[in-house]
Amino acid sequence: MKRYIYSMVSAALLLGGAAQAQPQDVNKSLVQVENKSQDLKFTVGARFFGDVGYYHSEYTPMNSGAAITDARIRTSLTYKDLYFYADFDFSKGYFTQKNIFVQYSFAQTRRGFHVLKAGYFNEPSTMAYNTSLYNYHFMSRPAPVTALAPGRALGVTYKFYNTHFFADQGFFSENKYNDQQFGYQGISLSGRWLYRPVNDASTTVHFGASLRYGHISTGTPVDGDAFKTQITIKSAMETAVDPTTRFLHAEVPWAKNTLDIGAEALLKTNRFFARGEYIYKKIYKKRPDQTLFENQLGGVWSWTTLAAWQKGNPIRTTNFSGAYVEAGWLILGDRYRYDNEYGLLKGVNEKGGLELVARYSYTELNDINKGDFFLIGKQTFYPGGVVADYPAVSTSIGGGNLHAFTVGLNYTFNQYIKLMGEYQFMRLNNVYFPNDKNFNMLQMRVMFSF
Amino acid sequence: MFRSLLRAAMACSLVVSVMSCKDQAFSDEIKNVDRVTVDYLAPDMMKVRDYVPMYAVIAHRGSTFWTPEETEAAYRWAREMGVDYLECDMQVTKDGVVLALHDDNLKRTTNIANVFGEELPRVRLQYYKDLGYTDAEAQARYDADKAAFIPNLTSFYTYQELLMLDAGKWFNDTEPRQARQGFVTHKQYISSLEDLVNYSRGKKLKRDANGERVYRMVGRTGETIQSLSGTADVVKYEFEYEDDTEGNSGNRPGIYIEFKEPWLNPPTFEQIVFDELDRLGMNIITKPEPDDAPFYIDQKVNINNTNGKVILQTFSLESLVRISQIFKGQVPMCFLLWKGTGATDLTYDDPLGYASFINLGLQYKAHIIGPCIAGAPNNYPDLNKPWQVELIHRAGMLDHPYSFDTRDQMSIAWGDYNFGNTGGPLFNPPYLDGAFTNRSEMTADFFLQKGVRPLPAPQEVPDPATLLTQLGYEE
Repeated sequence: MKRYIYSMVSAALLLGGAAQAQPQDVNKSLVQVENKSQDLKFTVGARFFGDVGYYHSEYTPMNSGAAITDARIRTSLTYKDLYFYADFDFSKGYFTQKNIFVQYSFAQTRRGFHVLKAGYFNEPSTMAYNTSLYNYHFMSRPAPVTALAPGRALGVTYKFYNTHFFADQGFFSENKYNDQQFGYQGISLSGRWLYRPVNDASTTVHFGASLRYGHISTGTPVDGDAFKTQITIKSAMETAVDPTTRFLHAEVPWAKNTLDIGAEALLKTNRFFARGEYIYKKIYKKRPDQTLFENQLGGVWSWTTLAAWQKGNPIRTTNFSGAYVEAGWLILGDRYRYDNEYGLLKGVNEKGGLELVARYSYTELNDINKGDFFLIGKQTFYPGGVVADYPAVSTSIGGGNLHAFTVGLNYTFNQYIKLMGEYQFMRLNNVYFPNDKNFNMLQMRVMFSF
Repeated sequence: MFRSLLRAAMACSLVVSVMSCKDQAFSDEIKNVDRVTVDYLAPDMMKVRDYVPMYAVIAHRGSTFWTPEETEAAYRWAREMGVDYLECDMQVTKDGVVLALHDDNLKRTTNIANVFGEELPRVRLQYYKDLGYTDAEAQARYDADKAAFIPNLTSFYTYQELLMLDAGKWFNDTEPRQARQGFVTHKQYISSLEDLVNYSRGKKLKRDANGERVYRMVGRTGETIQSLSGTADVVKYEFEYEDDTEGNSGNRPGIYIEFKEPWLNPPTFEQIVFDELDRLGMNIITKPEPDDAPFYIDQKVNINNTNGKVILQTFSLESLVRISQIFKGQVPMCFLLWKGTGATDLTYDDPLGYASFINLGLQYKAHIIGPCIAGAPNNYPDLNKPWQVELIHRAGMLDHPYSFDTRDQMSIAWGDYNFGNTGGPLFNPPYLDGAFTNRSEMTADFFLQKGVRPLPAPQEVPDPATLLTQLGYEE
């Protein structure tokens, strides 16, 4: 076994360079091999989430029950200033690529730290997405983050941080396997920047901003020779047992460029934390009008001019937004901790830790023109409320608006085992689900990570 | 600590038990019928709804089985059969005559291919001259018409041109088992709304010695009409009718008139029909009948003399809105439903979707829902399921499904095949309050057998073939 581990280590050495610790689920993996003389450390670990959820909805049922919502194997290698990390999920019965990256720390001085990172990992965007769920203080990330923030992507980042400043930025590709059926890869540029006016062992205050520009190139041919790009914005209902995204779901056709703007703030003391984020997403569109117009010619009922076609098929940018506020009170346990390198609140990993948490989030995926009428029997918007047989295509998008309130109680048996329980109330406003207004959920989770 | 956890667990149990009250395991269509909201007819709308007799027999296009549809033969036959309503589809000619005609393309039900081909009728030039235009003006209009001409579309032809077409022979060719020489010897014309009204009043076309209908093109009214074919003069025609001596049953059915595709007709089409009904004495808003006028007198249909004499109908969402603006819910109105992805179709026919169309109908002052029914020979989609009818009735509306061809369909709609079982998904039969039928004799007989057309409604159903012969349509 030892020989096997060392051979892996040797292979990893080829990556060269120096390393710095990546915040993992646990501070000390149960399985690790350390060679202090060569400044080398290898870990292997796994984690498992088992959830129970009970849902009450008013019209459209959600599937209550129990589920394995996370099952991962991870490995890491630290060699001097070089750090390699990979983890994989198989909780749904099939393999899913999670993180896999290499990170190099360099020019470490008293003024700060510099880190280069390459591979497949979360884009630098939000606190919520960059915190491991094992160390998150709620069972699910808030819906606005799931819907609007970028997740993992293949790319390269450069990060600088010190006690008071944090800057993480990079560029990413659109599709990690380049397996799109049509089109070229798109690209995104994203970054997250923090200022920490107060940051000591007991108290941290940070303010931050994030920015992301995405260019979408992957699409599908339509109408023969027109190329259609689009983007899907969706989120589950802050639960994992029934991960349905139907209640918060927006298909945005002809999406070409996206601009995400975020703002965040965090306050942490030993016994209390409060943090929140706001995300605004603007989706710019591009459509080959001339091609589509020409393709519809040839019949008695064809649009006769491009201008008339465009009037009947208007297009505009789409805007979504969302925000959340989270707070926690550490009833039992040592204290809350803050991670300077990642600009994140750490998890409660001390034995006997008990915290009470609460969250409010809202997700706005409704971008509906004032006065538009939605007829659910046709699932169609009628611009200006004018009911017609052939209305102009509405530019409204009814992806849903969700207000979610969560209270939870989390208990840490030790750094390897945690128990979470939550009650959630949600208020939905989605034209596709007019009879689904109120949702109540009870959830529990047991987590192992070692 | 343990005590706190115990309290928390008890609190959770309480929440779970409360949450369980209205739970369901899957999207249960039947349960969801109770969960969706439909509005309810306002009292003044209910009064108008009650202008319509229950279990009305509605002769779909007069008859599509026994006669060429929407012709004099079809409507005379239906009237003498004792139906409650003569049903038709409305379009308008280029020169403003409101037609009783279903197809927007004239090829199926006329001999237009042999008469005009796909050319602009050459008589158009003389038509303009007859309307008083100079030769140069007439030529200019003719040339303009020719440039914009789309063949076979009704709205591109004048009524004078349509009268040159035979609307009966095609039926003999396509329905040889029901063919009758009389449908050719008594030339069948494309009907106008005025024709339909006169048929409902016991009239028939007045014909000359050659069997041609007698009419006169009076001239321009001074108004213009805008349609798909452009702007044209409204032309006044005078038609002559006479008492129908062969069909003298005394039945006076109402008319059930459908506004067809508004994109083919003038944007003022609903107003044109309003005015035409007014001119023909069929507009109860301007000329109401006594509230106590009976639907039947001495086994004769008398609906034409009641406030239920006209029922409006449409599939079109646009027309639904316009009708509500012009007729203001004061004339019985049926919102027709078809399942599909077309412009006017109900696409999602689950309880939510179905209820949304009912509510749309209520919002725009409809009193009746007209859903399609399943079953051979048409094999339409079924939008008349028991739960759907339950929603219609919960809204206080009437249910007039279309179109019945068989007694089997009637039995399904009546709930005969529930075999006395009740409750659950069966809701409350019968699943209709009236029926669009292609077999009026069958539907009338069915209702008689069920005892829902008691005296003084007609109690005898004529033999359909014998009736046609009696009316002069020899085999």
